[in-house]
Amino acid sequence: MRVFYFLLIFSALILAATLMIQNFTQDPTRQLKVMKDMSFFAMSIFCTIFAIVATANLIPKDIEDRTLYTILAKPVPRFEYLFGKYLGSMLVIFVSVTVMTILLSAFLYLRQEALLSDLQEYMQVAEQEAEQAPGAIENEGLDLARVEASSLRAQGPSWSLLAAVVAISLQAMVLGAITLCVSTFASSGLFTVVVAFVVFFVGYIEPVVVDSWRSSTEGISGFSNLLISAVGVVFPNFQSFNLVDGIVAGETLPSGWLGRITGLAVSYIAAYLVAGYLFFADKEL
Amino acid sequence: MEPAVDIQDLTKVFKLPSLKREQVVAVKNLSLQVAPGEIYGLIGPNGSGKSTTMKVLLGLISATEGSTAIFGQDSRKVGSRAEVGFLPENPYFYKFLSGQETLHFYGRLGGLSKKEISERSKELLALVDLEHARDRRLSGYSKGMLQRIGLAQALIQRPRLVVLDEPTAGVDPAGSRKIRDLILKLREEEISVILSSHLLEQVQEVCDRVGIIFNGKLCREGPMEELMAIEDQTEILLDKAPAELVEKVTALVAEHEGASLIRSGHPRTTLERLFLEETSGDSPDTRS
Repeated sequence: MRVFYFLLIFSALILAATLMIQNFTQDPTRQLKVMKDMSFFAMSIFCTIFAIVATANLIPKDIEDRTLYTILAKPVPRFEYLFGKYLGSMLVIFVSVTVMTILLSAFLYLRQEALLSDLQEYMQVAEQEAEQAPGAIENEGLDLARVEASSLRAQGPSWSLLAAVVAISLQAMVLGAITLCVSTFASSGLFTVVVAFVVFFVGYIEPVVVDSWRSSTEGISGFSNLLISAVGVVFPNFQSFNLVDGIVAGETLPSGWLGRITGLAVSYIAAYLVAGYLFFADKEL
Repeated sequence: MEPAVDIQDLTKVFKLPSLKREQVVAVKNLSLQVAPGEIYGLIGPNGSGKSTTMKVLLGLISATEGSTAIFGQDSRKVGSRAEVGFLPENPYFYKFLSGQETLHFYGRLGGLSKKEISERSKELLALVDLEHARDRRLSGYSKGMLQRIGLAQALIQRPRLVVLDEPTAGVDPAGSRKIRDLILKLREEEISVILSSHLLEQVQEVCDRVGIIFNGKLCREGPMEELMAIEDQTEILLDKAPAELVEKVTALVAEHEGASLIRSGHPRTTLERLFLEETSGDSPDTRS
């Protein structure tokens, strides 16, 4: 039910952004960029929070309510239970992300069409004036309008939006696996949530901090290198999933990006789920 | 024939999370067997090890020493649970599910097909008298209804053994009687039952054999009739006996050396029977 409320808020957010953006900028391309930025930000926030908070209480609640006893008293292996809980949580994220993507694409398309329509009207008038009184200035204005129209179409709904959605979804799946792993041994849901957010934060800033440190320090010791490598292994590099900024700016994605982030996500999901199972397999209920 | 439950020398030690490395011995060298089709009562005070024994049997916790088997299969194996239904003490189920959906959920966990679940759930909802509430969410169920739907989910995959931990805890006398009657029906279907309860009169009514557990040890065990009999006393119940006959019997006892009359008077009904007579309109036999 709460997910449904968030989706409603998300729709309202995009609608409000659509209506308010024109008050802040008259540049049509910029308007669409800001819309996409705000929507992806909201999507990312929702997926991050849901992946952590909703997953953190899945197992502890079942233990507290003794529902877990009736489930594991059936011929259900513990790894199936764990994996099933994870998949269920991720399914909610998948459906929510799909709905949000459809809503974003719809609003983006409607706004794009409205802006293109205004531009078309201007271009028609400019063409008529250019025919009646051909001159360099009129032609230059027409050319600019044509470039603007092309830029507008590039900012509308496109397959590159899916790249951002995939990246956000994979990040949420990794976070969900980490949270589930921690919840198998944590003593409270709050502890699980805090640890998961810490892992997310460390994984996000670690590459930036390490690069900055490496560039400012001459000669790093072997031990420090080992430590940095260990941190890099345990804490996923969440910067790898940060494709939104580039996509909104219209940059070309690096080749093989999908395989790389999917491979990274699958590796970490598998590692954390296996670790979670090892903790859960011998847990006294 | 292999026993339904075979527990041999079970010991369970819990290590407490403290710096002193304290540990609690919850169960110590416990051995018991439940024959197929038998209702076995495991009774004891709080903290005596009843629930621990049941949880080890169900693989929810592991034994420190000893072995547990269900119909000859090591109970640590997941496959052994295909033969078992379990109703824990004060269970909660997913409250957003209806009664029908709950049975469907547990039926799928038990490996039943959709068709089997559909047929079986109709049967069980009728058995536990919850057909009228099949589509109601469990959040709207009373305590007694929750216990009955819990019993239904325990029976969904037709187990040969049912484990009941305090099946009537917190349930009113009418609901408690319904659950008792359901347990007796399980015996008719030759389903083995192992149950724990603090309601000793109910244990007395339904169980074939009883084990008394105290401080983790099984201190007394045996068939109900044998355990309950006070061997050096005899009970004779008379129906519509006139006062003169009672006097003659009393005099006869007095003549005999070594025998003495302990008590004479009208037998007592139970508070439960009295309650049910007043509240349900039933007239159960007041004679024990």
